[in-house]
Amino acid sequence: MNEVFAGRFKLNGGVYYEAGLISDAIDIITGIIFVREAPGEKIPAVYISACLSVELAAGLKSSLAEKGEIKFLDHPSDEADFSISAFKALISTSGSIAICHKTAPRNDSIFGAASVLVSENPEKYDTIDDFFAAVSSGKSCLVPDFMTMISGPSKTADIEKQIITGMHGPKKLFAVGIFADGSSGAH
Amino acid sequence: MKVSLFVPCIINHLMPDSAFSAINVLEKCGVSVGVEKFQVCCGQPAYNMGIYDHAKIFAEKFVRLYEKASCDKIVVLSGSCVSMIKKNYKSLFLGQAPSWLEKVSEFSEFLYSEGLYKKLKLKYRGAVFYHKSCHLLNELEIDKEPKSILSSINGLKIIEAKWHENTCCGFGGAFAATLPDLSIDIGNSKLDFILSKGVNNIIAGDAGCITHLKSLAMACDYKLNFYYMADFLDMCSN
Amino acid sequence: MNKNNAEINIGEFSRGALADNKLRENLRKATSTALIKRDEAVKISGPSFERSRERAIAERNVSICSLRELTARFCKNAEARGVRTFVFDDYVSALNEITKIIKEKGAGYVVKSKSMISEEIGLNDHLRANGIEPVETDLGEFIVSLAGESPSHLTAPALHKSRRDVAELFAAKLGVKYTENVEELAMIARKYLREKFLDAKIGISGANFAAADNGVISIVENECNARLSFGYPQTHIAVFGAEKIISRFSEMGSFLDILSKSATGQIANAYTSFVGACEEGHERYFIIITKNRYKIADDPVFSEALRCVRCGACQNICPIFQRISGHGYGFTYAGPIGIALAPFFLGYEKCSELIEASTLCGFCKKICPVKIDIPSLILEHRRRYYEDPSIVKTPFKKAKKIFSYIHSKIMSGPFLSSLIPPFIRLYFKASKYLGGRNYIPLWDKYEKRHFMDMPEKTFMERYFKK
Repeated sequence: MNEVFAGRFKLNGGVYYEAGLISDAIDIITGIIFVREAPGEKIPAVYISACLSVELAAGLKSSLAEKGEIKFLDHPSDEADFSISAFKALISTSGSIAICHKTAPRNDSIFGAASVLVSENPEKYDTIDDFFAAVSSGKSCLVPDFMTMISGPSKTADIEKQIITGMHGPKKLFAVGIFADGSSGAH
Repeated sequence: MKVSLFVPCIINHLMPDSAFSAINVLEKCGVSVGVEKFQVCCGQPAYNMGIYDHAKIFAEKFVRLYEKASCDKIVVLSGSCVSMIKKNYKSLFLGQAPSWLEKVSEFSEFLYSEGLYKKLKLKYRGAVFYHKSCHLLNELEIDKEPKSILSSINGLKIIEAKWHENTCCGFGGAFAATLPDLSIDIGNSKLDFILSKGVNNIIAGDAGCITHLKSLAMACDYKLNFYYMADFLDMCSN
Repeated sequence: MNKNNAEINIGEFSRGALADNKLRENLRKATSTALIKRDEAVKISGPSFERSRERAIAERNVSICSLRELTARFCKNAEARGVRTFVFDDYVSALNEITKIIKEKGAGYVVKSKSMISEEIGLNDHLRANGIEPVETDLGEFIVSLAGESPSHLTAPALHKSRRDVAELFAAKLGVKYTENVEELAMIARKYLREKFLDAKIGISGANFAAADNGVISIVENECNARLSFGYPQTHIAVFGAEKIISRFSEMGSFLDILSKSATGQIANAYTSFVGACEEGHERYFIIITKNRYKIADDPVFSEALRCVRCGACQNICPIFQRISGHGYGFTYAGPIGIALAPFFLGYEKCSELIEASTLCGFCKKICPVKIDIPSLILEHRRRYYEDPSIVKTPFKKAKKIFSYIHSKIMSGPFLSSLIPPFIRLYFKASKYLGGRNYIPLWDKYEKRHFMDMPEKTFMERYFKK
């Protein structure tokens, strides 16, 4: 478990889970949607981004459909209770994850009340300098033009410094890192 | 150890007892103290106004007076004067200040440096607010020295402000006359903060701060005791 | 409320601000919260914070001395990524180009994320004059623009407003039900702005940093409004000053590290986006303003002011800013760094009072993540003010010089200076007899500052009489 990252991510307002297998990750996400963020009477509306791997996307769809009533959206929208998309790297000491949009628009993780970001073997960086060194040198899969570092849910403190989440973006942020064999994709 | 005492204008004219306290304290530490008769202002007021020509007049006098001095150190009873002499004189002398200016030392910095303060047997019962004068703290980074000295006093409880809790006393030299409303308000916030801590005794490292805060306290009839560092140490070592 | 570059009489403004208890309390709470959070975040970071500072300063030292060359390199690399770049030294050309782009796209409004330079160049007013509505989307900017004010702080534009102020504003301007609940107020703004985002043809943003070696900019935020401004509409225009340009993208990390902690007391901001080549079907423009930047970069004393990362920490800790907020400075950039920059933009004559608005306490220097020696810069401005004979001096400044002259003549001689105390003692005696206390003009304002009695003898007199 990437303890330092998990701790800092939490300080930033996010919640981090780790899984060894795609199936475990799917269980975790299903749990987030139906148990942790129990929808009650409401049927949760979920958007699954095209940037997730086929295996992951299909597995999620069937697991969620099995668990309960669900409405799948075919594009990112404010109607979504959960938007599930992918991240590519995590940076421990910043408590940040990095997403990349070469294949899908950046907006997948903007809409939706809760943003769930999943990664299969994310790149791991200790510090932000390590991350930038890798991106600059081309060692990372992330490309400067299309990346965003996400460190927490959308928030503001513009009125009397009181923190409000979900200002223009998601109110909640979940990240699930899948490390095959429980080991990390070390860099 | 032989030192020459440089007395800031404010102490010379308004708080002369403080200079005598400083001499007492230094002598109790086994240091012999001399005073140059023809010393004058260090030139900071002119420098802070941006008038280098006038500041140079003072700086040249200081240099001429002390360059041949045989003392080990020149002890200055003010953080702002030390900052002027050690940091700003070089811009008055086209970037080249005489190297012997290293001999210049602020009072508490000097007492701390050779562990001299340990020779004082300091006792006090009660709480005191320690006001960190800005030049001392931010320009000279002298903080652990006065704090160590005060911490060595048996029975003394030191109260300070954290930096988000009212820091500057508001004097700021010419600022006090240029923007008096702000100057007064900043100082009063400081006094209110000190009073909120339930303390009546205030120690400061610069006489400018003391003059300003005292002036404000007089107007509000606050019963506060102000001590320049040397005054307090002299009192505690009797 | 003030418009930038307006003539502000700080003394007068401060009297109003000091008497406004609501404002005082708003400012006090906001600035002390920011300082406490900043300290906590720095503490959590441990020694890495200091390392990031040193690295950022080193990179700035490189960038500042080659700013022209880096600007050219940045543009070349951005263009290679399909971004149209424009470099303007004057505001009017920049404003005209931006307006031209917007009109070409047929947009009636633009969504804007936070950009101080858009304040500096007067973008919003220019757009309105050309029939284009600028819609501010950052909550703080949204609030001040509704109120017809300018932002009062670098990173917290509505710092000077309480929830009650915002409640009254929203009820009056948006026709919503009155509520002082901060969450409800934020959601009101979100709802109002949602439509604007979704239908926007053009988004305008600033940039926090720009890398010359790849032509990519970074945009730092917490609300997600910047992502919606640069990424959702078809056209994105980023406006920023040339001083944002650093030489290497690899150094971005250090800047982001120190910015988050110093600005908002966070370990990392919610969103930091990197923007270069567009998504398909989109268009992007970078408008780079160089006005005064090269001049400051070339200045042997003031070049360090360009290290500024616009965190606003110096504003939070300044005892003067804490009382008058950004509105008291009469310039886009307020607080200590504002005083350091203003004379370059407004000229010394307009800044004669501004450069006095400092006690030189040095806390700004202490808290500045890139260690800009702001007190020294302010002192240098004061020096240049007197040194340049072409600057018309105010009566007050003339009087100060005369006072200084008298001081230098009298106080530089031990004999002459010894004549002063007896004179003052006499004056005090007269003052006490007539008015009951030692009265000193300017010092004793509204009777709030008295003065101690002058001792009968000075230290030197007592010491040498012995």
